[in-house]
Amino acid sequence: MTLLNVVNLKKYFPIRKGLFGRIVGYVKAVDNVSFSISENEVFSLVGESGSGKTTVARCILKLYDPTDGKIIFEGKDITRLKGKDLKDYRRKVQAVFQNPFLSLNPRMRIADIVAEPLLAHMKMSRNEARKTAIDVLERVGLSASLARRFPSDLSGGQAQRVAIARALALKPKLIVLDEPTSALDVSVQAQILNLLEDLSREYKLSYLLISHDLSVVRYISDRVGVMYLGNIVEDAPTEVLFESPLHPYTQALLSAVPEPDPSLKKLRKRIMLPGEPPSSINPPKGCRLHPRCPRVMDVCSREEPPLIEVGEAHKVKCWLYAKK
Amino acid sequence: MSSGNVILNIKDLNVNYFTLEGVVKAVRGLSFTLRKGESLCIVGESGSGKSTVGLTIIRALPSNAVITGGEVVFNGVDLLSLSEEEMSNKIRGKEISMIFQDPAATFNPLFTIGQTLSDVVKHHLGIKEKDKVREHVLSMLSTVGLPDPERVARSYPHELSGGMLQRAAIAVALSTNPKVLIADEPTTMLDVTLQAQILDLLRKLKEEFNLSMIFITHNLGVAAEVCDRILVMYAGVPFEEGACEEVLLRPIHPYTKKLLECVPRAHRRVGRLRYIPGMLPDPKNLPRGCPFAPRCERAAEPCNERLPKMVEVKPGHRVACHILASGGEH
Ligand SMILES: Nc1ncnc2c1ncn2[C@@H]1O[C@H](COP(=O)(O)OP(=O)(O)OP(=O)(O)O)[C@@H](O)[C@H]1O
Ligand SMILES: [Mg+2]
Repeated sequence: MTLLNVVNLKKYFPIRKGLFGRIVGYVKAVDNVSFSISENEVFSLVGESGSGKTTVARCILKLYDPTDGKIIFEGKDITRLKGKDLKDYRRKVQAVFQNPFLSLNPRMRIADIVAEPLLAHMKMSRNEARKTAIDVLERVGLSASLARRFPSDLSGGQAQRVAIARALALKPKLIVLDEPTSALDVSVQAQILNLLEDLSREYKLSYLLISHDLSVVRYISDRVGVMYLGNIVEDAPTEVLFESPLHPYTQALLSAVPEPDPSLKKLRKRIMLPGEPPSSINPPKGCRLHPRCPRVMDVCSREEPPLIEVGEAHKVKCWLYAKK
Repeated sequence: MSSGNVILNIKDLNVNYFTLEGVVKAVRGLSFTLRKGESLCIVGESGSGKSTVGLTIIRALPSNAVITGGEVVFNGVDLLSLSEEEMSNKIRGKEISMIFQDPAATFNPLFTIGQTLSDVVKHHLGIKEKDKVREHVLSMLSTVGLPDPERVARSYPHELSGGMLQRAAIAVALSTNPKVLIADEPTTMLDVTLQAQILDLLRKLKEEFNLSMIFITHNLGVAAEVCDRILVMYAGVPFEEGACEEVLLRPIHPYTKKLLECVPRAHRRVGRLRYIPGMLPDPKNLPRGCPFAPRCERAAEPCNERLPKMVEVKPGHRVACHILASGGEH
C-alpha cells in the first residue's frame, strides 16, 4: 500500500535584488520530483549538497509550501489539510534531524521532552504521558535513570535516541530522517542504525531517509532515489541501484565513495565527473548533467530526458535508455 | 628500512588541555615515525587526539594546551625546543605545511587568494620580483587543478566553492615546497565526488613533490584511499599501527577489529552491523587503564590498571593491548 505519493513536486525560491526586492530569478531547488513510499518501506533520497533532497523533506514536513505539485498522504493532499486532519498529519509524520541537541529543549528533562507532544496529541494525562515516555525511552535503549536528566548530560548518540523516542511515542506512520547519523561517531552510528531498523520492523514504520552517506543508505534502505540539481535521476530498489546503477551520475557518485576494504578497491572502476555541479538558478538546458556527463550525446543538450522505466520499479532519467 | 629515511620522529608525546572543568589528556604516549615519501594516516573517532597531534607538530596548539612530554624530531632537530621565531620563519608553513577541514582557515577573508599566496611566496621563498612572484602564484594555482588561475587569484575566499577553496589551500600549503604536509580531514566538508577529486589531487601531488604526508581522518574508506600506513588512536592513546592493507584486512587490536565491523559499506552488501556497546569515554574523566577497557569484551584485570604500550607483533605492525601482550589470541 502506498503511504506517501509525491507528484511533480516543485519548490522554487525567489532571488530578490535591490531596494524593492525585485525578483530577478529563481533557485529551482526541487523541480518536478515524483516518488512514492509504501507502508513499512524505507526510501532514501541521496545526492550532493544543493541537489534538493532536504527541500523535498521540508515540503513533506510542511515547513515549506510547494510551488507546485502534490504531496498525497494516505490518499489526501496535504496542502489542503485543515483542523483535525492537519493535526492528525502532524502526528503521523515525524522527523529526526542531524543535530539532536538543536531539537531538544535544553531546559526540559528528558522524560518531559518525550512526554510533551503526547499531551498535545494523544489526550493523555500528565502521568500517563510520563509513563509512556519512560517506556519509549527504554525501548530506544535509554534507562529510566536518564529520564530525569537534561539534554546537556547526554552524549550525541543518547541525544539522538531521545529524538527518536519523541518521534516514536506519537505512533507515527512515517519518520523523515534527515542525516540522522552524520554527527555521530561510527561506533555509535551502528547502534542507531540498528535501532532504526528494528523499530521500522516492529512498528511497521516507513522512513524517508535523507543522506549523503551512501554506505548508510545501502545498509538501511529498501529503495533509493538519486537526486541531481533538483531532479530525481534514478529510482531503484537498493541492491539493484548499488550493484548495477544505470544513470551516469549514479555511477559516478557510487564510484566516488571511498572503500575501506583494499581488496575491493582494486576491482572498482572510477568514473570521474569533471568540475562541480552548476547552480540550480540557471541549470543547464536539456539533461542537467550533460556538461559533465562522460556519455553525453547530441540530444542531451537539446531535450530533457523523461524518467524511463527500465525494469521492475527501476526508473532512469537518461537518454541512453530511451527505446529507439 | 634505514633510519636515514625517517623525516619525522615523534617520541612519547603527551599533550594536555587545561579547562575550567578539568584536565583533558588529549594525547598520551604517542610515538611514530614518518618516512620520506610516505603517507601515514591517523584515524580515530572524535576526540581521539588526531588534530592535537597535527597542531603539536607545527606548534600551533591553542593557548590552554601544554605539551607535558616527548619530542618531535624533524631532520634531526626537536621542534619542541625551537623558539617561536625559528618555528615561524623556518618550519611552519615552509618545511611543514598543514591544511584543514575548513579551507577558509588558511586564508584571511579580507585578502584575495593571490595576495595570500604572494605573501607566503615572498616570506618563505624570498622571491622579490613582482613578475616572478606572480608567475609562481599562477603556476601553483594551476598545479592544483584550478581552472582559470588568473580569476582565482583575484577572488576572495568567500567567492570560491568549498572544493575550489580547498584546492587553493593546497596551493598555499605546497607553494614553499615543504617536506611534510599535514592534512587534517581535508575532505570532510566536501561531497563525495569532490572528495574523490581532492584525494586524487593529493595522491598526484604527493608523487610530484615527493611529499611525506600525515593524513588525519575519521573515515576508514578515505584512509584506505590515500595512505601507506595507518595509525589508529582512541581517546588520545595509540592502539595499532601498520601497513594500510595489514591494518584494514588483518586488524589485530580488539578496537580496530570492532571499528571495521561497525562501518556500513557502499560497495558490499553487509548483514546486520556489529556495534560497539557504550560510548566514547569522557575526556575529562578517562578510565585509569586502557581507555577502551569499559567497552571491550576481552578486557581483563591489567586493562583496568595500566595503559597498554605499543609492541611490535609482526614486522612493521604494532599494537597496544594487554590481552594480546599476555599471549592472547589475535
Ligand atoms: N582547545 C581545547 N581545549 C580543551 N580541550 C580540547 C581543546 N581542543 C581539543 N580538546 C580536547 O582534546 C581531546 C582531543 O581532541 P582533538 O581535537 O585532538 O581530537 P580529534 O581526534 O581531532 O577529534 P575530531 O575527530 O572531533 O576532530 C578531546 O577530548 C577534545 O575535547
Ligand atoms: Mg580533529
